[in-house]
Amino acid sequence: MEAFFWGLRTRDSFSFSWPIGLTLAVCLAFTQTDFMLLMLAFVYRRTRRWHDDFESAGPGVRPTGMVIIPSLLRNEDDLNAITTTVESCATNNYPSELLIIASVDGRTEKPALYAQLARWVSEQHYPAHVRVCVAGTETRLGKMMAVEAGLSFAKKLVEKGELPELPQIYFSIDGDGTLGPHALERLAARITKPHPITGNPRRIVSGKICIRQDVFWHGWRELFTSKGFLVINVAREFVVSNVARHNWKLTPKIGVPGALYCCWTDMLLIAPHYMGFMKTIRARDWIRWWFGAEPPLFSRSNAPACPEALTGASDDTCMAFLASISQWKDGKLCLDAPRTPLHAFFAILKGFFLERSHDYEPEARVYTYTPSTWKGLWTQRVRWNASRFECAGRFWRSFWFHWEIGLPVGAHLSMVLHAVLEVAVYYLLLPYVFLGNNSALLGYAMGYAAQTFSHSLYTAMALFLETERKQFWRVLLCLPTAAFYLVAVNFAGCVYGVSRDLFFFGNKTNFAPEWTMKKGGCERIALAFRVRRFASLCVRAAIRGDVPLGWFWFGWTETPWTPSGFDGWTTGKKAQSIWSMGVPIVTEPIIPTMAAPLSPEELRASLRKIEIRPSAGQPAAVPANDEAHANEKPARVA
Amino acid sequence: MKPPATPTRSATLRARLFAFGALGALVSAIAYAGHTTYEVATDSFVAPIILTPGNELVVQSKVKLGELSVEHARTRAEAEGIDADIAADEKAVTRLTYLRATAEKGLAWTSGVTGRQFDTGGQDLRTLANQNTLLLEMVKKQADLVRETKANTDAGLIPRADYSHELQALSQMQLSLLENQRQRTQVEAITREAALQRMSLASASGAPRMPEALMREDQLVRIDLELLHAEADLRLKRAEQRIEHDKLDKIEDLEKQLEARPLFRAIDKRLDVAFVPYTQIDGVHTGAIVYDCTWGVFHCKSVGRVAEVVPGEVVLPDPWGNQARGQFAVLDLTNRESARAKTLRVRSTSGAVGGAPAATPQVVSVR
Repeated sequence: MEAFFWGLRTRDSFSFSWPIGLTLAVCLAFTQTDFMLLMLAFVYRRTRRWHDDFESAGPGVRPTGMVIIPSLLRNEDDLNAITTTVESCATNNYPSELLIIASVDGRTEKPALYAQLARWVSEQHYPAHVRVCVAGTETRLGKMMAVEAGLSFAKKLVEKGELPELPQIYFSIDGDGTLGPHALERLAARITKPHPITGNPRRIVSGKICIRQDVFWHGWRELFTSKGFLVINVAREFVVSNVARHNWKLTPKIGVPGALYCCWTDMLLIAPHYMGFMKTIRARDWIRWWFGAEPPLFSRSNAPACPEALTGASDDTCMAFLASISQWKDGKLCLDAPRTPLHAFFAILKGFFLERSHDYEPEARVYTYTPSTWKGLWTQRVRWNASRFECAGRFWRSFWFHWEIGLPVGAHLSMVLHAVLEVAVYYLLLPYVFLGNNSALLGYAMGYAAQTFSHSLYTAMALFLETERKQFWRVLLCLPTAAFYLVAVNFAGCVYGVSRDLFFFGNKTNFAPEWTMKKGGCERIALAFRVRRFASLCVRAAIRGDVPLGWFWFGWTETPWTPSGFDGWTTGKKAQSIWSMGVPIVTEPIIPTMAAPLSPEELRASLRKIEIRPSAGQPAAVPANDEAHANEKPARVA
Repeated sequence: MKPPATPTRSATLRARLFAFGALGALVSAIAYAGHTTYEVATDSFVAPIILTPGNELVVQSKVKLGELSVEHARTRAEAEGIDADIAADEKAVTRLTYLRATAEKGLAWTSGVTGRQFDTGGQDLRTLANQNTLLLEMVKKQADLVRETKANTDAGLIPRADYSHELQALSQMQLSLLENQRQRTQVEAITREAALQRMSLASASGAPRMPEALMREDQLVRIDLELLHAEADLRLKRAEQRIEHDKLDKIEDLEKQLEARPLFRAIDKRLDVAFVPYTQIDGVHTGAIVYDCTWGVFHCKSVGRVAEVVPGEVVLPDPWGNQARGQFAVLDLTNRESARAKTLRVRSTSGAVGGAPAATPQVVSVR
């Protein structure tokens, strides 16, 4: 305390301000380059009097679209959220055919609610080109499995001839989102817009996530409550983080917001197959590739699809990675590895400097909610931050060849996420360099001041770039507490989540059920778990002598002698002990399944050449609004 | 999951051997980690310093000691000078005191002499007065005799010569009377002077001061002044003497401390010491075992003992450049190469000599 006041009184303002300014300049130069470039671009556009050139197209001009709304249906709140989202999508004035599928994850778990949802859908009246259906998985399988269920439902419609073909564009939206005006059409316009240099269509386009004003602002009094503090800080965070979606930073963006993005439906078709294909890649393939051999090609792979591998806390990131990996080849999406390391190197250059895979439509807004309690927000942030390591683990075999995504992901993870780096700079590096290590409190004060100043500037710039700034200006009110929020929620959540995933027993986020993750072959690094498994197997092998040697001693997945690392994550039951495994008859866990995905041959046949063409016209037949009653009730929702 | 197939005998044996080995390694590793953790938590970390005669700190210390010796000698010389001054001052004070006492005795003697003169003058005056009275009567009788002789001469009764003789006798008597008067006047003057001197010496009111008294008083004042000067000078010198002696004591103490410091001891030969921050001082005692560890944690081996914990605080940068307060400990290293390590660890033993090291208030800052 003495050192704090001593430093505070004896140091002049310059000695405080210039390190803060220097840090800010370094951040702007290296990690926030997009802010500077976007500001310049904004000013340039203003001087040239450029305006938003979006115009709503006529009927059928845009490609056909498919919105799949994956959601749990546990209670009335979930039902209301789904209906609100369906209503929002259906009335978003998408000009072409639009298939909206509310896909319930575990539709048999609350049959009454499901029936209520189906009834509600059948009672709605939407434009003729908008088709709303309800589908879902039998039991809870995870968000991406619900999306797959929606896709399967769409395929069935095609098979039955109720749809001429699968819609061209897939829109992802969360079950609690409300779209802004023409959000879907804006996304469609953006994804079909040819790249100015290569002429290719875009691969994936992010929307803008916003917290509604009526959610984050309930007057001054609530600003000083825990809830008010959290929601306004999240709103500010979204305002700032949306800027990064322009993808103008030094390294390409590697994620999309699950709340709203769009990609080609083919990408969704390919995804489970590619996840299965990645399981067949071996290290020797990579070594041979370095010596001139052909890399394993996805286009020739007969590996079975594995949609479960898409499910987890990072399903949207999986789609983002796939978009980064994919290339346009003869008008089709191609996920084959580069022919040689040199090609891989050029792919980096292309991905960094020529054609970035991720695009952004800043006016395609989705208004969403945020957890308003510390516990809820903490759980969300732990999941978000830890999932990136987990997702990188799923794709790491692919990173051997696809350097254009492996490099930015590696850079991203090597920083142990931006939040950690930022806090390290503000609270360790900056005070140590400029104050020495004699005054921790003064160092903290300087770090807090620096972080507050930087984020104030970022927020101001983000608001400057925001067209709806009148709606969001109140986020400025949370700036004095922004640094505390960032450290307490983002940084601490990141460190906690990543530590648990890397060094302990993994994060039990319960975002996807354990049986799906097991089937998908997901793993966690979880060193403590693996050491415990190894020690337990050692004891069993030494005493009982019925365990053969194998790499599974250090593994995560289920074997006859070991339970899966995911055991009990969803059910909450204690995992079977290694000592008792293999001796009694192990009860087979009930792993729900769904319709088998396409075979590789069927997939290759189903991939279409992407042509930007209008929809085929108004639907002749009216589809069922419920998969279960698809053959019984051709109730048109129009 | 299907029940596992029973592994073959050889596979079981391999797995069992591996498991035993792995478990042994695991248990050993855990035990080692636990033991290492305990020792890391309980050992004292110190920063070794090799002090050689050529070491910059040692040279600086030597220079400081030289400066201190010069200062010592100068102070001693000053102290001796002050001692001599004090002796001279003491002698002067003694003599002046004696002189003052002598001067005071001279005044009493003068007073006595004057008193005696006054008394003698009084007696003389009384004698002269009697003599005067006698002479007056004689003159009166002689005049009567002269008148009678003249009448007789005129009457021719007696020769003229008789008359002349009587007349001469009268003249002789008158002359004696005059002489008496002169003497009386003279004696009176002397007596009056003696009376005045007596009054002056007795400091009677209104009595003027006699010049001799004034001179003597002047001399006394001067002696007093000199005496005061001498006494003041003596006190000053004695104060200076005390200061010088204190200074000498301090310098000698400082010299002793410096000589006790490892830096001084290293003037003659190489000395291995360690800087012990106060946070680690509790575990550092004479006789404690010194360990050299890889990265300060692993593979520790004993490299010597603590020979002495040097009292007196030092302020030194720790191995990472942060200023820290602590004390020096002299090391008795069996492997002197270990003194090149960044840190050493000291493990307190049950047989360690001495308790907590004495903390002394002296602070020596070595920067």
